[in-house]
Amino acid sequence: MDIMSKKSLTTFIDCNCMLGNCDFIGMDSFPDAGSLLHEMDDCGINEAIVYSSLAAYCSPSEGNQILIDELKDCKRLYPCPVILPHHTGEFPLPDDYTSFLKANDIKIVKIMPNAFKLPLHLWIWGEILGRLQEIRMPVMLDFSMGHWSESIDWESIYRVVHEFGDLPVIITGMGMAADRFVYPLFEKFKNLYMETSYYQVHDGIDGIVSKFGSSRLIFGTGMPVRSPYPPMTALLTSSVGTDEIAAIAGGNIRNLMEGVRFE
Amino acid sequence: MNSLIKIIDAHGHLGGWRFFSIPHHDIDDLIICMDRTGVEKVCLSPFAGLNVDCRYSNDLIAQAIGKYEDRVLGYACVCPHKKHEIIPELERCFDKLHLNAIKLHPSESRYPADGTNYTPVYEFAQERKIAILNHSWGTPDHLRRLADKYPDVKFIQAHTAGGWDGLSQDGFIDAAREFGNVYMDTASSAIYRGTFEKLVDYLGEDKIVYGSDYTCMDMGYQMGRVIFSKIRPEAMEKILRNNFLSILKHL
Repeated sequence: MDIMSKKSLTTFIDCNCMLGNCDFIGMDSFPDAGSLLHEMDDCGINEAIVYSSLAAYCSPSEGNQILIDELKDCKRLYPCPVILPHHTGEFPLPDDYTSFLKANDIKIVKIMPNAFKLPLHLWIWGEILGRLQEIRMPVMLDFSMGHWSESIDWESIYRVVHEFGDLPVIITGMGMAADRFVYPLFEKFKNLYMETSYYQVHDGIDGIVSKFGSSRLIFGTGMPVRSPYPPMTALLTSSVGTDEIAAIAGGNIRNLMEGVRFE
Repeated sequence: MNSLIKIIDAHGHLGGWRFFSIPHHDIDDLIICMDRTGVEKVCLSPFAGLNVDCRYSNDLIAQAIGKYEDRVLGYACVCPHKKHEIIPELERCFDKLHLNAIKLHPSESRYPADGTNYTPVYEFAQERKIAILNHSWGTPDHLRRLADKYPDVKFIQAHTAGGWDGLSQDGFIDAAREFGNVYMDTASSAIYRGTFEKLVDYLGEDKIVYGSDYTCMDMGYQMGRVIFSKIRPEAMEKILRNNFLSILKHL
């Protein structure tokens, strides 16, 4: 089957898309849900998990609330708050915050250690991560990697997945140097997943699927900055089967979000 | 999007590389991947030729061509630190091994892009009308001087046509606009949304060659930039195939 046909038959859920004006990136962003949905229709993406540009690069509490309000009646876009720990009072206590997440039917959150210059020390993040683990809330870790050659704190990823073995952790924006780090983590920890927006290891998808199964990979685009098409073509031209493509394209993230257990 | 174009990839590699894991990196594996992704031919330089052993690299690519002569083209590599060996090795590459173009990588070679030891390379390429792909030509002015001095050499700047952010002024792209013998390839890990169409508009569809930097990067991932872009079909065929063929046409 040619790639165009495969693409049209695949349900893509983008787990990594930013919504809102973002002046500093210089290129067109998606100022509102309508503009993003239009782009998604154009490139063949069915649903998207979105975080707020204002939350990511300015003020999480403001940005998250604007995002939640905007997406209240939107069936194809799911808000993903960027979170902070509670100690300074910027964010509520973990119990209160998970109540907030439940009230707003939010099924995934994001932490951005590098953008906030706030490392993933367990003595900072431990309480909220523990609470999120209790409800099986997926946590995306975005290290804002601009280029594959940049170093990130893999040790902190190890600490988190090791300490919170039932917390679904999704690392995003990993590049072609990722495998030497990801493979040993995948071997040891079943709760680690990897988003594919920047993942371009030669035959990388095939390698991970053959060794670890298709459940560990989650489709993402990195829009509005990154083009959505390369992660699509990487998946559609891989040698994995149609069930695996479907899982990576959207099934896996849907399963993780449906696995959230609010009390 | 045209998924039926048989792609000619102008920028690929063979063998392992120290910076990351590259599974399946021998020539048989590459051919399997090419079959799966619709790539008819790829022009390769073994990683070893960029920094460690150009002679080993040139022999390796010659063997690959010998095994898959309809699918594989080869870049000759030379060591800029061994100036006296450059011409003999290039003569061996083109007269005996039948390679197709030259690949330079100053940063991996630990030699300045504008270093004078490269002069024999340019003179050889000028005499034989051979294309040179360079990881980077150093500065746009240096590239302009070369393009002007060696008009029969096709100078290909790697990566720039892929990594352009669509916003900043890029001197290499401007050099490609000014000189008929300067081209850009698309191989870049950074693939910004909507910029490829802008680049084709600005630089022109005749000055861009498709390259994936395969096996550094996934062949399937890289082609997404072009095959789903909104450029006209004729431009797509030029970029994915015909431009590079016309660059090599003297062979």
